Amino acid sequence: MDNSIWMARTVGVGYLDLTGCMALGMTGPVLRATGPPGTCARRSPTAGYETYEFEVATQTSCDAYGRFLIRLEEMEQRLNIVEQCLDRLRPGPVMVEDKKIAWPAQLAIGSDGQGNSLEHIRHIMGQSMEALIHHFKLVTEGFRVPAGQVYSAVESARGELGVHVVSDGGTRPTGCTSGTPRSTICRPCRP
Amino acid sequence: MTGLATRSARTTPSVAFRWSTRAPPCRRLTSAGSTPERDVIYDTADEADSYDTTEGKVFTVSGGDWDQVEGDEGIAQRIVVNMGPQHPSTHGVLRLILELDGETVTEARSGIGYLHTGIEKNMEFRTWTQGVTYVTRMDYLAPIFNETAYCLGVEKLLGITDQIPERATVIRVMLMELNRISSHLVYLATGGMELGALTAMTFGFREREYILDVLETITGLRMNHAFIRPGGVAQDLPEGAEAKIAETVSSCASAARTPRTCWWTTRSGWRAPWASATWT
Repeated sequence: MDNSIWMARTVGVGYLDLTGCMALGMTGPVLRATGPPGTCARRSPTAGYETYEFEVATQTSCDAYGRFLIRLEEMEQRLNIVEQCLDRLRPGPVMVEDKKIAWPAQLAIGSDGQGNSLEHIRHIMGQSMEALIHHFKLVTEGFRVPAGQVYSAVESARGELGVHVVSDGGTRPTGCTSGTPRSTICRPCRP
Repeated sequence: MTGLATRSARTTPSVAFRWSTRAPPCRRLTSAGSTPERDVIYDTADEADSYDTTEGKVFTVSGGDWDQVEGDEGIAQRIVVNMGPQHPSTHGVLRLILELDGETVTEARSGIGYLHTGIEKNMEFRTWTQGVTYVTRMDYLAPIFNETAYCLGVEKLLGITDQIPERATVIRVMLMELNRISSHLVYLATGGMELGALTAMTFGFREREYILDVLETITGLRMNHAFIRPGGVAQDLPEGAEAKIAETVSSCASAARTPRTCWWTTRSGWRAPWASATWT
């Protein structure tokens, strides 16, 4: 922490203040090293983050050292979320009930190491022709997604990770574009 | 290091855009002391080369070359180093053109795009479920986040956001947080390595491996999981997974209270590997 070699190479290095961050669209630890507790987990809660108790690590030094401290602190905080998750785990399904969407084959470790659930195989191969057709269609063709476009984002380890998904109503994406924090972080560097 | 070149007597004492100093990078070209000639050169360099194709305009973002670096009389010697993309610490995905004044990097330019493998285009020819297999490869240090963001988008389009089972959502959050910690550990490990503190590197990767073990138990793979799927997750937790997670979390947390054994969750602990390294 107060190692002089580490300090000499991080304190005041890579300075980027809030104005610079906003101009360049920076998120994640780089933004939070300038003061504001901006994480899109809080701003637009996804995946149920709003129901967990956690602090957001911030620093005000705007430099590489501040980002280092944020990551150290964040690792401790996020261990708490994992513990909260363990408390919340209740038995139940892990896939939507809609059979038109849910992946049909549950894997089960067989005596040979891996494979499809034998029960599932028995069902589609020996008991129900409709189940076999349904399995075949879903696995080879896939499900259809209503036409439209959405943006969804999560707060990844390095900042806001957004995905723009476009569908024309078919079984394949018309377009899927990722806005990754990795490319944003390269922006302060002149190309 | 490749492309090492020494430029003499043609440098400027005040570089317009500095990454390693306190000058805000977004205010480049406006710093006092930069000459008009230099500004002109930088303006040209700022615009990426491009050419027209039948598919539209294609840009070449290469990071330039060291012979483009020009400057004023001033500093007797300046070293321009081409670092990457084939450099151990950029591992093939990033190229940096660094201007050094002694040991200080006075300017850094980046050449990106080396990771481009047509992932997004490939996804247009696969089903929505298969798309997860592609997005997970966009970032092998934090793949769970890519999968989750993509699946949340597909679920929103399907209109089934409310129908995702609670257990699946909890598993997603848990995996994301474990993944966040393992990703930060690589940051600490490589950060130490690049300063010569190899103990920090070995400690960081060792701790990360404990978390990857948990991910492997749950998803079957250390990375490229393709575990989170539109509609939920691929499988339920295997037997004994919860105990293993709890064990890993508690060992991390208890180690956090013991600076001597856990260097990475405690602030004073950061010194331990550092000080023990025979490196001054």
